[in-house]
Amino acid sequence: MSLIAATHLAKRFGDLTVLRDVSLTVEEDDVVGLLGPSGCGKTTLLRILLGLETYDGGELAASPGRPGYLPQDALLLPWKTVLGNAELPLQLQGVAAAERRRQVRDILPEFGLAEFAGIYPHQMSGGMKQRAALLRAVLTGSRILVLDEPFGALDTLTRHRLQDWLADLTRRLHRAILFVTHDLEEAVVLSHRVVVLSARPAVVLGEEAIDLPPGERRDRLGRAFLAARDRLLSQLERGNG
Amino acid sequence: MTRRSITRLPWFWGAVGVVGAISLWQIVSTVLRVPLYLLPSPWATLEALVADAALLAPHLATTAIESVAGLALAFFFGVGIAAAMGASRVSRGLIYPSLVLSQAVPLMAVAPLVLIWFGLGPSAKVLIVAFICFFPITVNAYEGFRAVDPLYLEFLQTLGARRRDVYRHVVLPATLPGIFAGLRVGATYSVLGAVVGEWLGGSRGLGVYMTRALQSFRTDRLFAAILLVMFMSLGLFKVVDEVGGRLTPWVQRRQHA
Repeated sequence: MSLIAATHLAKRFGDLTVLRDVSLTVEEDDVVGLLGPSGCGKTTLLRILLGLETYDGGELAASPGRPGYLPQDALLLPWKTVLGNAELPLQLQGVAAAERRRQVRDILPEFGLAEFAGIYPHQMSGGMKQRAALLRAVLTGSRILVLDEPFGALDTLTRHRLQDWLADLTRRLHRAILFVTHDLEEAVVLSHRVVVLSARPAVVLGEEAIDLPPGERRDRLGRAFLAARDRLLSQLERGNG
Repeated sequence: MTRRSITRLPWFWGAVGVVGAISLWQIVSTVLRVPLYLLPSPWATLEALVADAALLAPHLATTAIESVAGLALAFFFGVGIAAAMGASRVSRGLIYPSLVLSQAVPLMAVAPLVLIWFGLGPSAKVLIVAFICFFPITVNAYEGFRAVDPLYLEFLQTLGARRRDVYRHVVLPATLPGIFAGLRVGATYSVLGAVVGEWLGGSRGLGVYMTRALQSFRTDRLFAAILLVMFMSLGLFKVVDEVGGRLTPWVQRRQHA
């Protein structure tokens, strides 16, 4: 069964049509990149999938429960430590304090945050914030994670490192991931499939499978990587010519 | 510690200023032989403080209790009113103008009435303190309520948070720094409010002691009481500041002098 199955979704804000016709499925363990130019309505689409926004046309079937969400700016609560932020989903689900602390501490090292459980967001680097926010999304326990431009605000080097780290992590995590990006490389590094969207009003221009072994996903200058990147670019350019 | 590093301590120049001013005052009093009924020297003030310590202690206690009680009352009223204003546009419109106008009431003219209504005991003083202190607390707490980022509220929605979860995890902590900013201002006003209330009538408190000292032209005693009021204000401020710092560890604090 699909975790998300959206068919012919449409969304208007007054006279402004943001989504014209967007169909999209996400299966178990899928990693799907949503690639499109800035302002094409990617975030609106995510908000609809998260249940934060209604839609005006089409159909949406989603697995029960809300996806784990990593918002664009991490949105860690400034008054909570790494531990406090990470345990929040468990806390809201009524998990007892000792048990949720244990769960967080078990998984912190995987996110490179083992020594940072007690620090506050204002003491964290951009990369740490994103990792902590992803950890929080994972701890919702949801089968699907939705990431909104997860590494968009980071410097190039940090972004590359985190992309490689996340690509590794997804192979162990066994969660489906749907992420939005306008970064071609990011789409290649992380995705099994990339859904290419047009400029506003968004329609699906096409879908590309990215069948690269882990080693070639890291090699941003490798032939296979660049070929995949070029296929995505030409899709984007054809639709937004 | 080297001399250079002492001068870099945050309180160093403030201490130099205070000690310098007091020394100057002592020198001027001694050289010009200023009579006591006009102005006591710092030394005479200190002597009066020591000589009258046993008499001053219960007055000090009364004023302290009134100040803290009034501040606490202002806290509950202020946060309550702020929450009410934050609840809807209508409630804000209803309350805000009256709130601002209330601060234009000349307290010195109204305070005697409060004493007539509530008697010469401590309750009238507590009310006067609360009236002076609740405005900064209300305004700061309300700004806190307003400044809650709607993105956080939306995010909590995706975690399936209920309304009381949102209050506990977002609204309350977001408001806390504002509440303490108001409380810090209130703490500096509160002792003053209690003294004003006592000044107008009563049998105990530093304000009462001051009126008596003044009637007998004992300015050394007056200044001794003033000194106590100053230290009490400072102490209350420090306590509020410290508690606020402990309860809001995520706020990057600037150094207070």
